[in-house]
Amino acid sequence: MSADMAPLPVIAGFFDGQTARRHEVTVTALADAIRLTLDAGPDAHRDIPLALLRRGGDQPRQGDQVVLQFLETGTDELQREPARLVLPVGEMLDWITARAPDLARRDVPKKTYMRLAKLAVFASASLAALLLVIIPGLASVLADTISREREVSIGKTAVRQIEYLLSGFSAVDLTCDTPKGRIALDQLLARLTESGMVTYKIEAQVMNHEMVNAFAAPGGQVVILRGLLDKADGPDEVAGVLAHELGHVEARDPLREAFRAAGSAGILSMALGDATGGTVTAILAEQMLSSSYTRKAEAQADSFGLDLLRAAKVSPKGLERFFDRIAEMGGEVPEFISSHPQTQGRRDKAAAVTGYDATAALSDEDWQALKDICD
Amino acid sequence: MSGISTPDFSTAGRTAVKFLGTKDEIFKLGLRTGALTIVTLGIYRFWAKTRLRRHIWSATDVGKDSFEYTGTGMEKFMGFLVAIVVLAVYLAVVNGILFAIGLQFVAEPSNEAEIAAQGVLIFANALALLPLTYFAQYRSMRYKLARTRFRGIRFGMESAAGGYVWRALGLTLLTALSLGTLWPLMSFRLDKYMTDRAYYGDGRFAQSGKWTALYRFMIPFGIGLVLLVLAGVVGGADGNGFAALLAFAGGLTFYFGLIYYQVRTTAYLTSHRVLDGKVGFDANPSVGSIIGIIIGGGLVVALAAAVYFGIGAAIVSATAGPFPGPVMLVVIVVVYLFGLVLMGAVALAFITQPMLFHVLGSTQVLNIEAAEAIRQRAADKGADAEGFADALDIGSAF
Repeated sequence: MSADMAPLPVIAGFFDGQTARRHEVTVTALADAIRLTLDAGPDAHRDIPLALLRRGGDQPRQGDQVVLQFLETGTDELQREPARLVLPVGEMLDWITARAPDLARRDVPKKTYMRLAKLAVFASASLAALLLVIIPGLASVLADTISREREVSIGKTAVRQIEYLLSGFSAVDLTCDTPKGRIALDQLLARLTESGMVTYKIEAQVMNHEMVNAFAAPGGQVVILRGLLDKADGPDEVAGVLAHELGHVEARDPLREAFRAAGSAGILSMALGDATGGTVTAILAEQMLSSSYTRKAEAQADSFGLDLLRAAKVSPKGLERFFDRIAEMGGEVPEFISSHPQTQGRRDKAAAVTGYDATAALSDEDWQALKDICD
Repeated sequence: MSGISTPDFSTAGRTAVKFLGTKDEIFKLGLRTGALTIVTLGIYRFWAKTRLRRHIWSATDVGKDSFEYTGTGMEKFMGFLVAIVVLAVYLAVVNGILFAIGLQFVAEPSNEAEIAAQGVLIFANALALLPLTYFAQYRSMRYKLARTRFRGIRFGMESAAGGYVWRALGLTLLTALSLGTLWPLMSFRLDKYMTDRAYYGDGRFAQSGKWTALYRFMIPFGIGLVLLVLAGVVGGADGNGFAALLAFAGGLTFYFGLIYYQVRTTAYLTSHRVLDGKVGFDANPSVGSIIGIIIGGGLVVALAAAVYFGIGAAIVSATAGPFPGPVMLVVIVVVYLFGLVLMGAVALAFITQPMLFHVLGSTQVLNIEAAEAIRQRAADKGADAEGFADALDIGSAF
């Protein structure tokens, strides 16, 4: 049979959408429609234009029949009449498949995309407000109600947890404590804090880890990682980094950040889904979120640090060199995913400090002792 | 207890349920929709789920007619957008309260009591989501029924999630307090609550049977528990070989006993369901076959994963060296994610498909002729289109 010739009429199943009774109908091909004739009475027939025919997607191949639906814009979720035609696989189906223009089309109700866009904006705005404004705001308020004693004990717990993490979950004591190194570190701290700008009792320690980093935990707990001492070109660099961390301590940034992180726990991963693809996005998004919150804090800690260096008569050149070193190491990442403002901008701020009389942060001998604190 | 007795179906006509979907089709569908999910950063998952359901529903025949799934990915996505806002606010409040309480315990660190307190807090976090989880369960079932049709007639469920939540919470508490011995009561009552509110057209479903009938299904699971406790007693002082053997046997019996309980309970409940007082069901799945499918399919997935990730790791370590650049990192992430999609598709083909084939194939509908008198019901908007279930990531793949 050629594709142009109309196929012979076939018997098909028909459900009228009113009851669950199966009717037998004869399906006849017309020019651009099919005629359904109820077997009960030859007069009871209905013509359905080919343009209104739809076929449900993802039906199994093995079946010997196919369910067809008819377009009807209305309240039905599929935009279909509730009636169904169950057509046996064969010439009639082939003929319909070749001619019905929109057989595979999915009809989306009018204004759906508008509604989707509005909902997406509403959901994104609500989540953004919650994660970027409301939770950080509440975290700030809550952080201010915490007493200093409590903050210190929270900080000590946090440092222990960090040590556990850095040791690869092996609970090895990473603290470096040679007596000479300890004395040198205390000297450096005393020099930075003697101006009285730092009101917290600082407890600093060096941990035996290769990462070039230092961080502040709540309540004056400061941790320097050995990698920073190894790479630093003199005590002024370490003093500069330390001064910056003391800025965080004074501003209670670590406490605020801990509260914010606890408050937003689970929200992002829920919004992005744990399904494949979602997890990676969630990690990246959390990184961006945490950086957008702390960037301002970083800038403030920088300027506090520079003031502290001036008061302690330590040269800001050390900090400047430290930023140069980060840039050389290729650690430059775009500002929006970095938790620290772009290194170049921060370096320039340190370089712009007008000169004052400065002496080395530590003597050569003490500096060597500090570098060897892990031996 | 109001006992609805099952009508006598001994002379009723039996109509077989069949699953016509093949491994090949479901594998390709899983692979294609999974890949699209990666490319769209997860957004396509609502459409992926819809297509999988559409396939499974339309491949399930009762007599001459198949089911039809009419849900859409779009409505699921929109339901999800609403649900995450509600859940985010709820989570933020709960997190805040729990964190504030948690601070009280951190005050005196490094003692046993603090560790215990933290455990309670973690537990409290999970408990805080429990009411929402039950809410989402009911709404998800209601949505699935509202989007299921057979012979052009809609299924449906009453809007009664609230009643389900407090019953489920009460029964959970009861089950916990009774150390699990009232678990059958919970299984039965929760299922009955849903079944008694479900409809096919204007025909109402009803759950008959007794909750105490489920106790016999707990026997293998109970034996496993006893063996595990014995292993603990025997090996208490010094772990010996006999205790290890007991623990191993107990663990296996416990795990398979759990599957046995779930399969037999579901079969019992299905076989005691009545539609419109006239249509019955008979489910006879074989627990042995199901365990066989889980073990066999699991082995296939494990093997596929070992081969894929083994080759992938070898290629990456050969070409990337110890410090992969950013381009290589992206490649690694993509290869890894595609591996997850591939394993998902393998699991669909070797676990889901045989499972559906077996479970549906061992089910019969009794006196289906009586269903012909059933009339259409009004369309249900479907509320949040299981957005809460999607956000909380509960329920199975489909």
